[in-house]
Amino acid sequence: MNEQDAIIYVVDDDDAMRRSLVYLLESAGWRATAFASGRDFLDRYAGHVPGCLILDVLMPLMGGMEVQQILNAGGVCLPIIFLSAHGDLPMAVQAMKRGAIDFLEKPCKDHVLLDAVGRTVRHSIKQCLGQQQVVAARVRLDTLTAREREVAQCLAVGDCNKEIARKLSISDKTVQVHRHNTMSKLHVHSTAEIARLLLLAQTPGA
Amino acid sequence: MCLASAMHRLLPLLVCWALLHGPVVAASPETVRVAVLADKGIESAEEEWAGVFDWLNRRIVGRKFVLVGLDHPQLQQAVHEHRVDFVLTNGGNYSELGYSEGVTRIATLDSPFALSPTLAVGSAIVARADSGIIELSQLKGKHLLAASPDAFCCYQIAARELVLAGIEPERDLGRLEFTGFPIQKIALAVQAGKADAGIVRTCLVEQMIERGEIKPAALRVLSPLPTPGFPCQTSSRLYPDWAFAVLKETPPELARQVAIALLEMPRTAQGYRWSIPAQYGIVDELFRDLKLGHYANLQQKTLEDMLRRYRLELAVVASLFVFWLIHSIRVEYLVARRTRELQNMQAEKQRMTEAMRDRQSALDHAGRLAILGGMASAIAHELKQPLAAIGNFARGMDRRIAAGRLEPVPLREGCNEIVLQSERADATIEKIRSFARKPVSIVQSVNLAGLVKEAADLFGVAHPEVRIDWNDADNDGPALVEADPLQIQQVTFNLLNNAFDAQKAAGNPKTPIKVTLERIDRGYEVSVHDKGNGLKDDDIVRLFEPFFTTKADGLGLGLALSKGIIESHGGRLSLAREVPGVCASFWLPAETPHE
Repeated sequence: MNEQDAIIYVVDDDDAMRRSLVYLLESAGWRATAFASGRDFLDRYAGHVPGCLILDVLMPLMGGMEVQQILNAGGVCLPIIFLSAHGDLPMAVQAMKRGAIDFLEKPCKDHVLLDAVGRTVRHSIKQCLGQQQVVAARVRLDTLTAREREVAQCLAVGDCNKEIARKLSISDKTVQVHRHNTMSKLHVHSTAEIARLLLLAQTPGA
Repeated sequence: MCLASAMHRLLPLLVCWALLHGPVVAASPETVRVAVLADKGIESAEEEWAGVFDWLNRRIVGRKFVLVGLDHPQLQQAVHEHRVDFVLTNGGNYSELGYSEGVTRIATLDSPFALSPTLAVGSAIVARADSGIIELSQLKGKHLLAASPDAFCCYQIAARELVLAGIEPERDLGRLEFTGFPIQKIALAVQAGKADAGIVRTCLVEQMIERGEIKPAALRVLSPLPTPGFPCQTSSRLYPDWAFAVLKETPPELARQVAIALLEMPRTAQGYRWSIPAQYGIVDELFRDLKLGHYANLQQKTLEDMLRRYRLELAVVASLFVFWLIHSIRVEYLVARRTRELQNMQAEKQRMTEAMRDRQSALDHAGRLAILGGMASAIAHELKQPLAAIGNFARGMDRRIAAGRLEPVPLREGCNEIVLQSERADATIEKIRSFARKPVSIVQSVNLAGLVKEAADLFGVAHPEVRIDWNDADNDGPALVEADPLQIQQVTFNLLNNAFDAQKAAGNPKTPIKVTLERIDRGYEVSVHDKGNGLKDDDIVRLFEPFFTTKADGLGLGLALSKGIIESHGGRLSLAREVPGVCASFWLPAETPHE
């Protein structure tokens, strides 16, 4: 996964602005796609990552903030750069709290925008990679039986075999069998590794 | 004088009587002056009363009784100044003097014609028997003759009866004519038809008939009173006869002597003599009724009494009058002042109207600038977009060239875009400039629909986020009005601006603003409906006032200017509440088709 895989999505209701942004991004070597409205983008976005969304704040029908909320609600992790014609600090703060990477005032210098795009795309790649690890962890954990999963959770918090046998009301011997199966299924060699996998799997967003 | 005629006949007898007895001569006789009422002249009086004087002069030794013949006022004067000692006068005059000068009667004449000395004298009011006048009340408006206002028997007595019959002599008679003496001429004048009626003393008519001076039954005594035993017809009640009276200052002894002498005077052949003094009270009543003599000031007294008696009411009336007067003056003053104020106000209004007219175009201009000012950020946005786009294209091209990516298609695309966006910016600037330019009002026939649509488009340009629902579907054909297109667009722009601000304030700037054009009455109405928070009643009224605004950053000029513009076009601008929001409308009269 690298920057060549990234797609820059541009959503702006002003045709000229939209076309000029795409032209600039393409001139800087990015793959860019433009949409005339937030609704248009939401309808046609297929969940491709990595990439970044350049979103105009003030648009008729659906503003940029609204698009962000819908994306967040859908668990889409496409990082957003907001472009606003009217510098609005409270709106910027709110957008950043909701996960926006940048909030730029239009018109911004081309390098400012392109720097922001580069930064955001790298963030997106990292996010995508992290996301891949989470998915892998979940896949591995899904191979465990229910009892093995219970044993794994006890191991993750540092319980010894005896404590596990008492908690789960099973014999020490049975615990030893489950422990062995669990470690081998997860391809781990220590209880610490089990704990890391469990934590990854619990990361939201995937 | 009523007895004048009788005395006349009595006189020779007295003279004879005097001659028989001879004069009683006093050594140095002291003069006793007797005032005698002599209406008919001194000679006549001397002739009439000579017998009485002779008698007195003979009976009372050492005195010389002198007759002083006087008319009414003279007699009054003489008594008042004590120039006489006794008075011989009629009942009326005596009664008057008795009251005013304190004279006292010592004897009353006793006439054979009288029922008694007390019931001796009366008035007969006579009219021609063929006149149809029978009652005193019929004398209203008639011509009446009398001897003199002072005459007792021949006016005053009769006057009382007239008053009691409802006729005020001075007021109700057609004519009241005083002929003077002798009274015989009154009877003759009435008989001759020279007057409707006349006042004479009682018994005169009978005596004249007897003497053949008038025809029997030619005259009628009006309203004759029943007086049993009285030989003559009378229109009045009867009064005491002449009185012989003494002044207060006259020595009582002399008065006593005279009284005795008079009472001792023998009855004459005609039957006259002196009797004990009669009661003259009835004369008093007469004077009271007529408000004569000492009652002459009755009228005045009564007025004073009234004033005293009704002083409270009069005070109230007077206060009311004074209040009314003050009120009237105040009202006059207020009216004058208000009139002046009104005139001033009108002048002021006139001045203001003229000033307004002068400043109208300036204000329109100022208003447009104010609107532009309010739109500054929107305008900036509108210009920033193409400029930003130009920047992006140029930088993009620069990056391609720098990176050695010189494919002509994308580079030319960039150039074309830059040209396009510069033209767009230029167009925007031109629109704003023409809007801000001070216009010359040019009224022309324009299609209102097109005008409003254009204004809405312009507004859309300035506010890209605004959506305007334009609906004139009901109109077929152009909505022609005579108007200044720029001014009407300004109004439309203004209303749209208000609608947009209202929706922004309500947090729904993107709700479409509905704009409609309808044919109403003989004109067209453009309505702008917003879905804002609406207006309070108070604000709706005040919104047309210059510098009144509900917006945080508004100037408060827009609606005032718009209203002025629409009204100068003969139209009307109105605001109405809707749920939710407000409907702002202006109506313009349709163009009257040119023949």
